[in-house]
Amino acid sequence: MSFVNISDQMEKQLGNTDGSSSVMQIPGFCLDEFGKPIINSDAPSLYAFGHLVRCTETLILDLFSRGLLSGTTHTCLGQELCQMSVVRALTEPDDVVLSNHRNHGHFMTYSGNFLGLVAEIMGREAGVCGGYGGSQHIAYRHFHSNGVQAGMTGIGAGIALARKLSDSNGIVVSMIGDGTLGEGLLYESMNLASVWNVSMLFVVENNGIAQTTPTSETIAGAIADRGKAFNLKTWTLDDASADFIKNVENVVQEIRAHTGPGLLEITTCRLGPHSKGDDLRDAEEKKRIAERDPLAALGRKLTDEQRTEIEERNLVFLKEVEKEALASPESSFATAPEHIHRSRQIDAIPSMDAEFGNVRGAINAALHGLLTHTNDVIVLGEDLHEPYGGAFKVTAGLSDTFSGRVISTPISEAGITGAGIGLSMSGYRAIVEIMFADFLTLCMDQIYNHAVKFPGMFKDCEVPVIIRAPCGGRRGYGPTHSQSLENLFISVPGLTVLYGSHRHNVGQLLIDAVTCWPNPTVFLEHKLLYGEKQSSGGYETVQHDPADLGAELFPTIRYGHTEPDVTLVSFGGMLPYVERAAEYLKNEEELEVEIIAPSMLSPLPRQTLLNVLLARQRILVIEESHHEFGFSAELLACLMENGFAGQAARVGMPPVPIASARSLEQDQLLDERIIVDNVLDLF
Amino acid sequence: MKLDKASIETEIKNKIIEIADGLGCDATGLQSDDIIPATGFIDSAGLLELVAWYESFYDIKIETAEITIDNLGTLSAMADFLQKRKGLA
Amino acid sequence: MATPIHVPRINNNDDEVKLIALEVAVGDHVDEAQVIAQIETDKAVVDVESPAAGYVLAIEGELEEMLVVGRVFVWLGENSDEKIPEPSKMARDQKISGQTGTPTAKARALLRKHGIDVSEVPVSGDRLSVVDVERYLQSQNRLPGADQTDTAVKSREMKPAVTGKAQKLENVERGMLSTVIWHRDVAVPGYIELAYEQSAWKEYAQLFAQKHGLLLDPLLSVMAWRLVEIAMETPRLNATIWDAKRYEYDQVNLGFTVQAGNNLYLVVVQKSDEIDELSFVNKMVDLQRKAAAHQLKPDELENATIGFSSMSRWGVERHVPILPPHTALMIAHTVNIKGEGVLGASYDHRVLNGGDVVKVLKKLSKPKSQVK
Repeated sequence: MSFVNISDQMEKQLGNTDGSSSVMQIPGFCLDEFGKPIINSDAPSLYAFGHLVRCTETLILDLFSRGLLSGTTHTCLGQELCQMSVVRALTEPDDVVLSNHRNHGHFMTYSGNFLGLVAEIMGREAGVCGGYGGSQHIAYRHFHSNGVQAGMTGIGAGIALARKLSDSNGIVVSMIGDGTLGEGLLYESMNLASVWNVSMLFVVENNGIAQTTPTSETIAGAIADRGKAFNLKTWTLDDASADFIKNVENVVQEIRAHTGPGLLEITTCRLGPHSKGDDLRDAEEKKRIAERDPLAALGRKLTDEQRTEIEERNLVFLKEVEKEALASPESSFATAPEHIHRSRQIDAIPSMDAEFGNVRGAINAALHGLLTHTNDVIVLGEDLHEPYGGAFKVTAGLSDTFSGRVISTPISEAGITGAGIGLSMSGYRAIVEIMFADFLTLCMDQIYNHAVKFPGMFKDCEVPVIIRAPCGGRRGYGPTHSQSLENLFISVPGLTVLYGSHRHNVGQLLIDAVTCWPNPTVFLEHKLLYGEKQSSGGYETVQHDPADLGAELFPTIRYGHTEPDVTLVSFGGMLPYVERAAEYLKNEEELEVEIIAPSMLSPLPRQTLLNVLLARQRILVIEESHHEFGFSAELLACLMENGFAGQAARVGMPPVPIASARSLEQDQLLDERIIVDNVLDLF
Repeated sequence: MKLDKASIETEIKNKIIEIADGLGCDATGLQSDDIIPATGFIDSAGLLELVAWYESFYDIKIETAEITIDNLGTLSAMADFLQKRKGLA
Repeated sequence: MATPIHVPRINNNDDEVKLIALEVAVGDHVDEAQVIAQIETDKAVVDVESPAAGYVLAIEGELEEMLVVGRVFVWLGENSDEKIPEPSKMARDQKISGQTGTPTAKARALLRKHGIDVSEVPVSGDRLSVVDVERYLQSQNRLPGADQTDTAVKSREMKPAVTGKAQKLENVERGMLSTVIWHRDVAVPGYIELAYEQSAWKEYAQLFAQKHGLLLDPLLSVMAWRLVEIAMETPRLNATIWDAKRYEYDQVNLGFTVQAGNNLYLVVVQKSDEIDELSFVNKMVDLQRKAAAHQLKPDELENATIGFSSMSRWGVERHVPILPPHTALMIAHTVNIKGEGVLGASYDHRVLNGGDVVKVLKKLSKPKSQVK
């Protein structure tokens, strides 16, 4: 599973396959066979590790003050036992820890890699992620943290589903703070975990304050009630209580029984500021917290001799960590990466016929083929089940045949996109259907801050998720069900945007995206094309340029004269209109017309398009989408940068909402008349 | 076509007169042993035209290396060269 | 009041349906619930029934046409002479409006290309067409397609076919590029000439001819060879501008003008820098002979990197040669009617300046050494 591969690759990338962490023996602790420290529940062990965590955080703050850190950092001072408690109780190699901005304690407990953490935050080569991730973004074995509140929770639900589907004994713990309770995605994720009945534990580290705002001002109702509302097993524990560590172990055991998800609220206190210099709490409050300090209380259980010995050996160890980290060179790129795309044949699926009854049937057949010939394709979306069969009936007939792999989900676009990412990171290939492309905006954070970030930051962390969505207007569905949002998504760095048409082999595009293109991909389908016969109609494939990643898999096609008077560049649902305009221009205006239609909008097949377009005299780029800042803007800029000397123009939708009334919509969206008028303006 | 030496010389001389006429010169006074390029009646390009005509009119092929004063420098030499090439001498 | 019959929606996903049968014609009387037409989706064929009794006033749609769901396709009236309302916008806007009377777009492009005013050209049909323009051009003895001045499209700077090294221009050199910026992508010619004393070259050519027993005067060929040598010493002479850089060629391909009958050829001695003087002179004879016979091959006519032209044969005072594509220097040699030698040169001012050219002409005005 790819998630496992990450850890191997990360270690290779860092050149510490022997583990500089394991070379740096943690005083008083052994590692299990997977490299995780074994921390017993006796007071000396807990105090020793907790003290090490605290001193590491102090070291980090000290390095910060000395100007040696990259960016900012969030320490867990005062929350050491809280952060250690759940992670130390995870004993299975498949167990997953998803963390957040305040992740140091989780990471140290999971990995024992103190040098890797300190060097990472300093931006040094010895950092666990080579300095790419810094304090908040760390990937190591099954530990993954990211910097957006609740951003990892939907992903956690997906990973937990993957664990369940593969009969793994592993569980997923998702660490959040009380501040995260304000995020909507969290509730989508709790609901998903519950309806899927997966082994996932949401851990709310309730330190009573969200950055600077007291929780009492931001949270209505009780935290535990939220868990109960979603039918999660719910516990509330205090990290200063006597049996805290043991009780947390019991909670983990209960989740390990695989009877469903849970929510554990841990009452804790932050000794330090949220980040740096933003602790506005009054002195009384801080004094109370210091007196409560559970780590100090634990220390008091030891003899002075015991405690001194532990503290001294920890300080010696951390001196060594600091020395090693400072000796490690500043992180540098051998070659600064230009893209995040990888190429990989995953498995062979019988190829699809180019001619097909209609586009809907071609996509349905492709999904059928993918589900038949692989075991790891999972189709997720709203109302996919029989007899409804998904948006526009594209998944008709699949849920009965492939029970358990074609999953109807709650109406949670962000949540199911996250789950798709989680499944994809766990060796599955998730195809997520979003009922209308308009709702892709709800998925944007999962795409922008998660799906494209992991493969970009972490070598060999693949997120081969496909997000399918019907788009486009002309059905009178109005402003939130008629849009073409490709202009937004092509601007997401690292995201692949495919948008075929009835002139492409759409089924094959989908199969190739799933089996040969392990990169996060949005797959757009125009709703008016579903009923069109899929046929090449005399188009031919433009020779792809080897410089263009993916251009061979996702071809650009062309139709018409090779020395045209005008070239129409368009894609997706515009093609029937473009073809009618071309016909008119040929018959009535005596023009030789060429049509160029890419199926991959991003990454733009630049060189392939330039090879054809640079020599052309007149080019009109036609989009159904809002064209300002969109595909045509990028393509025309690219032509200009490369010395295009002909005439060029573009036409699309003005920046206004699409109307519902068919007669109004007709006046807004491009049709053959507007295309013809724009072409004639060039003559 | 007569391939006796006098006829050949006459034929070639007529061609030279024609070419020289085009350049505004009168070559009727050309003698059998006059070095053609030295007379100034025709220039290099005229000579090339003459050689091209000579090859095609008498249907022979001349290598560039053979275009020398010894072989083609005078009317007499051109007639001898041709007869040799035609196996007549 | 006329009653509309709308194209019905058969299922959610089909916005257009095909009219496959019409059971009535304009003027017919129909009964309520009488089948008047059949329409087809990709799933089913459905009868369309009349909602009322009456007369068919109008049918808006043809057999096999795809009709948009919801539009009116039949009007019924209580009497057969009732008026029907103006067509709705949705029905009205289906067709692209014609451009009656105006020239077609292609014809407009042709007119502009040839600089012809539309009023000059007789129109044969409804609109001025390409055929009209071409006929007009022929009547004016102008070849369609001959003019290449399509103002809509600027020429692009093409990379030269001969390989070379792109040399960054010095700031001062770039200055010239800017000075002639209006012409940046094409050669910007200048012309300079000097009188020269011919005796040294004449003597050289004579000795060379004697030594090798040449029939043809090698004067121009040995002068051209000298130009090859000079170009080898000074790479910037054998260069062009590409991509705002001076592009110095890796080889010297000497182009030489040859008049053969009515044709003027620029024959090219490829890689002149790799052969010796005698081979060069012989190669020139070869090419001139082929030119005279019109048997030059394409590679003997292309990719010149520097040029030499002489009109001494015609005794002209001066000629200003056109620079061949992607060359920066073309020598213009002549001997005027008074018998005085003249060495001139056309040059690309982006690459060379007057001083550079004068230096070349001075070097070229006498042989480098005695005949070897």
